[in-house]
Amino acid sequence: MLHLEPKAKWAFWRRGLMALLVLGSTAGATWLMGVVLGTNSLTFAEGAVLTVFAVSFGWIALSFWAAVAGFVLSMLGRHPVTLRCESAADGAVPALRTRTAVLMPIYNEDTRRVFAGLAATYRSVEATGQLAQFDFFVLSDTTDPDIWVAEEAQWHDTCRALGAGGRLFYRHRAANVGRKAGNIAEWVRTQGGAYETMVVLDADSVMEGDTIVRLAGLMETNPKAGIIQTLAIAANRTTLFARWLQFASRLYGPLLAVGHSFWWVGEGNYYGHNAIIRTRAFAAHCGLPKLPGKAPLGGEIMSHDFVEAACMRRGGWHVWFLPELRGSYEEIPSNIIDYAVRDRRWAQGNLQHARILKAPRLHGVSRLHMAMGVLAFVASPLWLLLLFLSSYVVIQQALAGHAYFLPGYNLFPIWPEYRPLESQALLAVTAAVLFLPKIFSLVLTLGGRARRVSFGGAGRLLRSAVAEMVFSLLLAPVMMLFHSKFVFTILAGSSVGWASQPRDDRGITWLEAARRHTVHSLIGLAWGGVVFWYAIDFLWWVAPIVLGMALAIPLNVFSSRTGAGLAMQRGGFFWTPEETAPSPALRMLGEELKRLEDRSLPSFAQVLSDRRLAALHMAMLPDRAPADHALIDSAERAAIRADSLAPVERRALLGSATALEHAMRTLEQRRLQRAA
Amino acid sequence: MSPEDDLTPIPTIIAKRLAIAAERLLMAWGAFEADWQRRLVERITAAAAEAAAQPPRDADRAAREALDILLARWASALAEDAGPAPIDALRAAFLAIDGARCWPDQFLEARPGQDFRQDLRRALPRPLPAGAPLEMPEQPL
Repeated sequence: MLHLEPKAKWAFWRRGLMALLVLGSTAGATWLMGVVLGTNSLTFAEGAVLTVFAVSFGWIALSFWAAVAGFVLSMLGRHPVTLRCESAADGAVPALRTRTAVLMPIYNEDTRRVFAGLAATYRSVEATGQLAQFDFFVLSDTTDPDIWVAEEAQWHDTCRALGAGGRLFYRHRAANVGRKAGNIAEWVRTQGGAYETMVVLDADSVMEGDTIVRLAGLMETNPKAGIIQTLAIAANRTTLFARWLQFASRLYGPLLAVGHSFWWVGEGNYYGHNAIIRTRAFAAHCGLPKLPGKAPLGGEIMSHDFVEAACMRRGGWHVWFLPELRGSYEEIPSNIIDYAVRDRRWAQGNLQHARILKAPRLHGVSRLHMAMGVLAFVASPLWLLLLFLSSYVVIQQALAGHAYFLPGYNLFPIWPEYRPLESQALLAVTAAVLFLPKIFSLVLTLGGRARRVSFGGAGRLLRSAVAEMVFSLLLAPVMMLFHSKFVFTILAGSSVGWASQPRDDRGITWLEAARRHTVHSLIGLAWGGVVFWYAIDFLWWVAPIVLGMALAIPLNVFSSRTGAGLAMQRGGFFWTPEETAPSPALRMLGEELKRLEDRSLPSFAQVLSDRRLAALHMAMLPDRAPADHALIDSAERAAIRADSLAPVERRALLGSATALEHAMRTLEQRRLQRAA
Repeated sequence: MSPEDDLTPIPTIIAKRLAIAAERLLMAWGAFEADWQRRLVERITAAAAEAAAQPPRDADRAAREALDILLARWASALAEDAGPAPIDALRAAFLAIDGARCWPDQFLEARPGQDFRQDLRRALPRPLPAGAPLEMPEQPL
């Protein structure tokens, strides 16, 4: 097993090198921009452009240099942490001594998908021969009574199908206090003492048993490791949008991940799932308080994962990111709108981190992770501002013309100066920073036969990469507008709820797309129109941006179609290794989903009439307290007409064994009366 | 059916009430065939007869208590290392395996067969494992 701790040398120098490269390149690019802008002295607007440019460039320069580091290490075949030719994925799976809990927190999710994923992961762990060291927990915070009933039934069926009784557990929490972090924390507080480590999954996660066992082995080998995060690969969706995103993240993600792992070393980050955590360390250091004040910036911490990683590190435990561990999968939203909705939640969580930056005794890199999380969303309004200001400067110059003489007496005119060399250099640098990481990944993939074939071969890979670039160019302005709106609304005090993420291939209707994107399209058309009218020479520069905005509606509708995604697949676009050669766990997930596809799931009303469901539900209920008057009333109404109850009443009724028994007794009496 | 549960003659009126109560209680365990239903009702009736004959002659209660005793005995007979499973869990499992149709002879049986035990065990909804609490104090941020 890989020994991480004594080999993560020179963290200071690695970070120093990264800082030098990022700051140096940002300073150089900003100087170039200053030269281009300030040939005839700098106006206020130009000064603002320069400032925003510096911040924005620094942001992308960090990713660029991480990609460079990733490229160099990958070419040399070196591990990003130990810098040796080794990998955590090498060698036989270890024989484990410690016990690990696999946790899947869920909240009103697609029940079939949850249990199909869990069953696939369970079988995969079983195949390693080390199942005895693992227990699996479904931690439900579900509030929808129909889904609650379905979860219980599906859990029971899964236990029977897998022979997993006494190893696969289900727990339902009556109130989802603290959201996902609270859900996990509740388990840690009640059950955590029995397990050395816990693997946290998301509702759409699937992991190979081999990877899980290796993670547990790494925790045994590295006793100061608090968290080991894997690189979760996006897979399994079939809409065009999702296939594009899966391809992009699969092709470009690993390189960046290796580069980041190189400079993060033992101060890595945690992404909330597909990671292993040392339970006692987590309990001792990761209890999250509520932030003072109200949401969106106060209250419960939404993006808890970054904060938990920072707290774990503060407690003296290392947080590692090991991208070489494969067999870690997640699913992504299938269309632009669902993707943006998820980002809205993340934006609020990440902006909350601005309030945690000053927390006592946090490691500098942990603070940087949080600052980067903030900047991930703040970068969008900055880019927007930069683009607007640039357009404004150009239009202003076009309208006012060049001022040959300043107010007052001037002996000589100020001739307009252009710096074509610096302009071209700036363009080249910016393009390099944006596109070279993609080219590095392409070179790496094309360079290895197995890798190349896993993406469908050189031809398919190259044309997919070109299509990906076009799609990225069109989508980026829309996401910029979404993110900008999120940042402004959050700062204006608007909070977001905690809705479950749609996890199926959802097509977007024209009406829904129009509702979401009309403003974006109007902004694009107006922007393009003004530039066309006043400074037509500048139109080419803003064309990719305004085109993306103007085409947002058809782009969203078209890209959300499964048919379009599959047609592109048939045409040889966006193939990924998960499509060309799915791993065993992904294959098992597919089989499980197929098995469950036609199976109907029970609902609340059936609990009252189906004694098998009722018995199962009663067996799962811890609450045997007497029911109050309101509950008895609900029970009697439910016995007459179950659908007459509001969701909150149904949930309360399901939560009380006494009230439920009363409802069933009443129903039985009514049946007997009718029979009499 | 075990020999210790011999049927005892009881007054007809009490037996009828008990039989109705026992039938209702047995419904919660699934739809037994008529023959098995009759035998089980007789068994519960016999176990409840003495209590039902006492004032206030509450047949429902007597039948329920008698069945509870029989069930507790059955749960003990089925018990594994971790002790007897809760009756609710046994009922859920018995219904899940369609025990009333597939294993009527095993219901309330003092020495349940191995095949039945295995089938039942597979369907038994297990509660969470015994608690292993950890302190998780809130951290300053």
